[in-house]
Amino acid sequence: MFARSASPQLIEEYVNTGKVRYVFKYFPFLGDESYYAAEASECASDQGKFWEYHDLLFARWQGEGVGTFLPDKLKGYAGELALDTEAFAGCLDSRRHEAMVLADKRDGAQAAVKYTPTLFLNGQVISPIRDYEQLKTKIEDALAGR
Amino acid sequence: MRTGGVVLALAALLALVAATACGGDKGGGPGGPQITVPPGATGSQHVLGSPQAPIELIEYADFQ
Repeated sequence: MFARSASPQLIEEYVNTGKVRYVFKYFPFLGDESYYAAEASECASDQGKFWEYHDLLFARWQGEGVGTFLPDKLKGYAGELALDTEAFAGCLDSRRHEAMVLADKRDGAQAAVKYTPTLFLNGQVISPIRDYEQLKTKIEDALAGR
Repeated sequence: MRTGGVVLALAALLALVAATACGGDKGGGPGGPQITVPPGATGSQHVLGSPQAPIELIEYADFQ
């Protein structure tokens, strides 16, 4: 999975050095837990902790539809990050961010996203990427104008 | 008997049409139902890095 294996190196080597602008978008398609997790991330974002929550979710990933991202679990993760858990629970239960998540998915579908992770480099699909070295080669090629 | 079968088939077809029209996008994925987004809804804005960076890398991801 790209976010767990390649993101830290990508951010250190290319994002923090001003060479790459990294944009994260939701494309939930594996069931209800995918939607819950995406909406919970937006609830964390409301409290200024999107990236921390994003990283925690990928760290807690155990498989598809195994209950890791059910609402009660997601609320527990918010507590681990010392978020306001009452506000977080209210946010998640309200489904107030569902439209934003669906808008991301619509945009992805319009861009022909069919699986995750799908990566676009300057508008061109470069996935599937098997490891960081392959991603690095793609970025270096783009930086060199190849 | 035959009429009953046709009625059942029509009922099943109508149920399928209704589910497709009202169900939004929980199935998702390639070839899934059309994504229903409320009017005016915009996507997320989670970005790391400089807007002047020469490379833009967009990741579409599912936490599962």
